Amino acid sequence: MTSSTLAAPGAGGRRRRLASAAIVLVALGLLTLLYSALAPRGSAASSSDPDVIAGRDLFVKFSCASCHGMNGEGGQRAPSLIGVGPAAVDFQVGTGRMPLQHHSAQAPRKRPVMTEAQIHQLAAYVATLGPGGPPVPDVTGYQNADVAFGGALFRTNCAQCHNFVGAGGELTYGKYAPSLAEATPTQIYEAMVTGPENMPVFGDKTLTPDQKLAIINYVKSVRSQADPGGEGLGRIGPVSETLAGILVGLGLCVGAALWVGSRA
Amino acid sequence: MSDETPETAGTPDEPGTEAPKTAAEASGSVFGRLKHPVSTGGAARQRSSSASAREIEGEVLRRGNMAPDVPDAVRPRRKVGRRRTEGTEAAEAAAEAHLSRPSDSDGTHFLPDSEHGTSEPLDPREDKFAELLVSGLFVLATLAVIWVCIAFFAIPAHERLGEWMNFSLGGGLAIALLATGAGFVLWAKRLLPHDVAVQERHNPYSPEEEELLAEETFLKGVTTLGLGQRTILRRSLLGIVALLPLPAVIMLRDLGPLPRKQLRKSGWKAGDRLVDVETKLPIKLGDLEIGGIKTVLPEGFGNVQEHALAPTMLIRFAPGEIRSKKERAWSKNDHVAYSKICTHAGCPISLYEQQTHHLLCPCHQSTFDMANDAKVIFGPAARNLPQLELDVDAEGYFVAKAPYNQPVGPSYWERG
Repeated sequence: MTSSTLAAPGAGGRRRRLASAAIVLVALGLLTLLYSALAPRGSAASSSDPDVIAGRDLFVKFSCASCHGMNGEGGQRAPSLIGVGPAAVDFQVGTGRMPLQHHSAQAPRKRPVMTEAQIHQLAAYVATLGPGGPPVPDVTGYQNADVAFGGALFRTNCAQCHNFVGAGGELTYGKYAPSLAEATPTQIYEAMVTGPENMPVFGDKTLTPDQKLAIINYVKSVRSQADPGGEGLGRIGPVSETLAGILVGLGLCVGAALWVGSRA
Repeated sequence: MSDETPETAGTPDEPGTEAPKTAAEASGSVFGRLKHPVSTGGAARQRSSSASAREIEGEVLRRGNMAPDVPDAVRPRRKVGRRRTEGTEAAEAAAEAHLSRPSDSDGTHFLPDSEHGTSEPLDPREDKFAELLVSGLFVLATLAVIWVCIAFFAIPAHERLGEWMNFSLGGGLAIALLATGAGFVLWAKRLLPHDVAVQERHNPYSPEEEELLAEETFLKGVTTLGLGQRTILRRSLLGIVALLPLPAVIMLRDLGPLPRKQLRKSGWKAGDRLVDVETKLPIKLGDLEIGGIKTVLPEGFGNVQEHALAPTMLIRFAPGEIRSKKERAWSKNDHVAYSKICTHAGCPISLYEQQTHHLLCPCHQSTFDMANDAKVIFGPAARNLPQLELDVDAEGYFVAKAPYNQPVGPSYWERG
């Protein structure tokens, strides 16, 4: 009787204790989930790869995080870096476009602020933010690619914006397709696979790696040709030459005539 | 310009009496100047013959066989009173004053230095320096010419695609010509005397009797030809004149025939696979990355002439980026296909910006919003780009569900 009367509240206490333990467990589980959602994504924090750890420091040190977010999640001012891959990092930082100095229609090419080793570390870190994205391409042997075919591909796919010898050109609202004069073979390849800013993406199924190497070979060989007349004027042919001849040449003649006339 | 009859130059009413604005305008005949060199010394020039305005007017009336008392209404209007110079009285008085000055035998009046400021003769050192400068330029030109001659033989012609040769020849000749010209200019400016001279402009109208004579000669010629009497001659002439334009009309037939319905055909049929323009391989769903673009033609396209209107862009958007309902309905898995021929002037366009989805035509900057049914948002194009309805066949390749439902490319007369 007593035991039963004692047992009853005893059993009830056990149930209560079990219930509160379950609540604590559920709360803990929720907390863990919340933490995993809020805490830095990827395995950067726990990664033992020294490149990744150094890259994370660089990500903060060079203020990448101020626009792209502490975890590269992007924001109002900058796109997300999750899943962009090492090629995008190598291109943007290697051409000096990132870190951005000021906001304008388009990021201009400038001297890179990081060394090659630092870019490699940064790329390694960004790669841990999320899977996907092309790796830094290998362009060895591009000199052996079919340069004539590359020229045909370039004129079909690239020349409309970059000009048929890669001199670059204007786009809408202050944007432009940059000149390819300074672009390295690796950077040209990276631009094709990642589609920086407003450039369309040319994945490996749109242009196979062999076709990309052919395009690179064409760009590099056409850019290294001599200009028989001195200033190439973008090598866009008789249009620019005639225009320069008429505007500059005739302008100089008229100016000289006016000057002589005014001093006579 | 006649040296002997400066008097014919016109009445004070005519533009000839207007004072020339520049020395160049007033300089007159080069050979005349050569015969009558002038000094820059301040002495007023006395010349024997000078014609006053009154004398000139008298001469005009005399040559026109008219007495001074002939009323204005009877005088030929083209002689007097046309193009009366509009000017202030002071300007007219100044012009009159210039013309009353002593003049050369060719009617040039030299203004005294008081009119244009004094021109002191150069001091000997400056004179010598100017001379050396000019001769230095001539020597430079000579050296440049010699360099051009040597360079032609000395420089390897095909080195760097002839860059050095071009520079040597073109640059050398440029230096030679520029230095020679600069030498002449400096010579004229530094070492030659500076005069200001005015001269009456010659009468722009022929005398009345010359015009009458010309008219008479012409009429006489027409009469002599005898077109009035010689009927057969006249008719045969009319025949050839009438038929002469015929070959031109027949040859212009080459411009035709009218295109009729030809321009409505774009070369696409329902079910045509989209193939890469370079590799001619069909394109599978998934071949294009998000933000990718490809120029495509219908499978089995032949020569370019037949498929000039067929080039099409295949673009892949990210999910949810297409804003137009119609565009979405005609798309396939976020892929859309639009004509690559600008609706303005027919330029091929694929300056595609994958972030803004703007498509820019390089010819006249027409801009199309590819996420909103290729609507024209800037530039001269009048119509949106035509869309090609897409589908995927059983093997996963893109095909055209239907041909373009409107003529592609620029407007033309019969388009409607």
